[in-house]
Amino acid sequence: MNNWKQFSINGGILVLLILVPLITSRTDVLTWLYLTLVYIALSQSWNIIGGYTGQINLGHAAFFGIGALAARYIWLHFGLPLPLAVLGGGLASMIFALAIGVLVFRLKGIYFIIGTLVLAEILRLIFYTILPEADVMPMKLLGAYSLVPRYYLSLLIAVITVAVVYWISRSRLGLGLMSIRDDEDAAEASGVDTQRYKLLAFNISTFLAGLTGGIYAYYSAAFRAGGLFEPVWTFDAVIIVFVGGVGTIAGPIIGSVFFVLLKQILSLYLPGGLHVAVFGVLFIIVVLYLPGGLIELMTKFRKRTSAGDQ
Amino acid sequence: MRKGNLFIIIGSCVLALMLILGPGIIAQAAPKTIKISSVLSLTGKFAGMGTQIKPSYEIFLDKINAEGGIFIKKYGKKIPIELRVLDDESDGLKTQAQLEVANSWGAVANLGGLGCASFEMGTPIAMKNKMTWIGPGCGGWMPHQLGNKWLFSIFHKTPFFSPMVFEMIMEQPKPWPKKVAIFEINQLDALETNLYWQQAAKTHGFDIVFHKKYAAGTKDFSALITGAKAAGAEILLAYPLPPMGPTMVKQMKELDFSPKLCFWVRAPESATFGPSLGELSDYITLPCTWSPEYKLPGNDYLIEQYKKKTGKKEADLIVGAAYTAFEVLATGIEKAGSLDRTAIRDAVRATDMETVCGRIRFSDQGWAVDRGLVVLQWMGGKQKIVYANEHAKKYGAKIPVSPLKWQPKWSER
Repeated sequence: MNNWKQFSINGGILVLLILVPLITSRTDVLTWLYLTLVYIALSQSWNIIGGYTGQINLGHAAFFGIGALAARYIWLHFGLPLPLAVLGGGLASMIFALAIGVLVFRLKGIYFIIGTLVLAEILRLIFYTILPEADVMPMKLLGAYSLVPRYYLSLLIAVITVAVVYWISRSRLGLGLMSIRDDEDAAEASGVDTQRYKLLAFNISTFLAGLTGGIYAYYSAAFRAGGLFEPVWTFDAVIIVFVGGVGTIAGPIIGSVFFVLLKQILSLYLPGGLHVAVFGVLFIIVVLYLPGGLIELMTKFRKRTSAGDQ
Repeated sequence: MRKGNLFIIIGSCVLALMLILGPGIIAQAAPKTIKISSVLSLTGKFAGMGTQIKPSYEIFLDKINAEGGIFIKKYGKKIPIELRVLDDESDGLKTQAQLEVANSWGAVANLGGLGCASFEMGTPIAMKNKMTWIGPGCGGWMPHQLGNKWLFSIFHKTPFFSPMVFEMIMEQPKPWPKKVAIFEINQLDALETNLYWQQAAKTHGFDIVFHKKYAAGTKDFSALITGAKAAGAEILLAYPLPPMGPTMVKQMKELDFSPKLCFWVRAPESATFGPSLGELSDYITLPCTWSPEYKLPGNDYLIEQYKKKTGKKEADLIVGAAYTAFEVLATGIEKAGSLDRTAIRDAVRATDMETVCGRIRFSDQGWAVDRGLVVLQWMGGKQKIVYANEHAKKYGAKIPVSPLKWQPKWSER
């Protein structure tokens, strides 16, 4: 596909998404699309460190949570403008990543995975303890609450995140990261400064996770601080990346659509908690038969179609 | 980006938009039904609560629809109710998303679930969407102090049920147990309860000999139990979540800690508490707003229908509160005379009626005023009423009270 055609299709999808609030005012539709966009941003941010660099970070919730809390405080409690608050969320996460990155990357393999998981768990317990009450948006703001600006902000962050991943995948940095993923020792021997590259990937990933947290802080009418660090924020992102296609640009997008919308639609039409079981079975089928994710399904389909044409 | 990938993205977007925009395109005609939603925890850690509430709502739904529905003055006829139950999976974020579904569906009001997660997270969305939220709720006092005019909870509230334990003890023959241990969980209503427990203990001359915090999700209570035991605690006050209650009881048995009184909130209300513990649940006490032992009008019908619907031998403890919530809402809708959300909210606020739970009136903040509350004690798989507060006492023999039994040592049980 040539660049112009690709640009047209991507642009068309974007225009369609921009038009959604003009087509419908249904709050459920906007909420689901908002959540899909949040998960696209969150899973893409994980994809940078997990998918492209091969560092399985199971503490991603920590950076999402720090971003959300920082943004909420900057916006609501310090009264600064929202764009600054969201940016502040991203920066807070990145600063935290910088502070712990050097230590964390001394760990390798399973120790890195456990280390990051424990980090998020510690923060979860701390914030449940020091901030046990729900942070509810002031009634004045709730009275004027609209999903539309939240939706557009999430669309903007999702587009930025996808663009960053697109750029990484085609840059020298991306090549370095993928070489680390494929064989870190070989990459080191070939002259790649693996520690610097990993830190850079970690900082970009956590900055984007923090931005995503920032848009969640703007959206959420109420949340509990500890809840922002729940492992579900990490594992949902990981599941989405693996279901969609790890280390690809389109994978997390497809995974997010599958994860959020299918799960929601199943929950509306299947009674008595059956949706959880059905979604679980679908997830197992994807993992078992499509180890490359849903992207792989399309690739197989395309190959078969091409073979049929010949 | 490869061609195939782009097709997947476009296909997914188009499919998603068709699926989610489709139902909205269908225009609503005259109201053939009154749409009411119910966002509940039917899966997850609060499922033991939601699975009691859902059949209770359905019993009232069947009853009122059998009579033709609710009379709406604006239309001059009775209109049946259409209830849409949505599972929030015990997750506050999902509660919020499901309330948006309810809003878009056109629900005139929402019947809520039980538990802090859904209550604290969900009720701001109800306010945002200007939709009445009424239900058992949670014990939390704080959500009522935030200026939310769309929130109504018929459940007990921390300032009222917390001191009851001491009032109950002081109704018993002397000598009273005096040494109190508190296991405090980091959750909104539990923190409030702890505060009121401390105040009431001081007022009534009880000694707090042990007080420790623990995090939600804790599975090992041995440090707390041995600490309370070493301090000679005779009364154990705690607020365990449903999965933690049985764990706490079992560990108390293993560590041979048997205070004379266990007054616990939340976990003992769960439908799974008694069945999962068997005889070990005996002697545990809890505050409640209703009991299957209530003899108030309508309870025989409710209990019979609940047993028939669920196949259970006894009605669970949140059944009455849930049924009452629907009864109050239906009465409010009829009084409003239209399906306007604000009119319904105002009519519910003006509620003053007798229900299966006793009299219900609401404060300006949406909590039930002068609520009749009782303390129940688990015994032989059933819950006996062992204390009634001043508002419940007014009903006399219709709320029968049995003597409280002090918990014996494990070796003597």
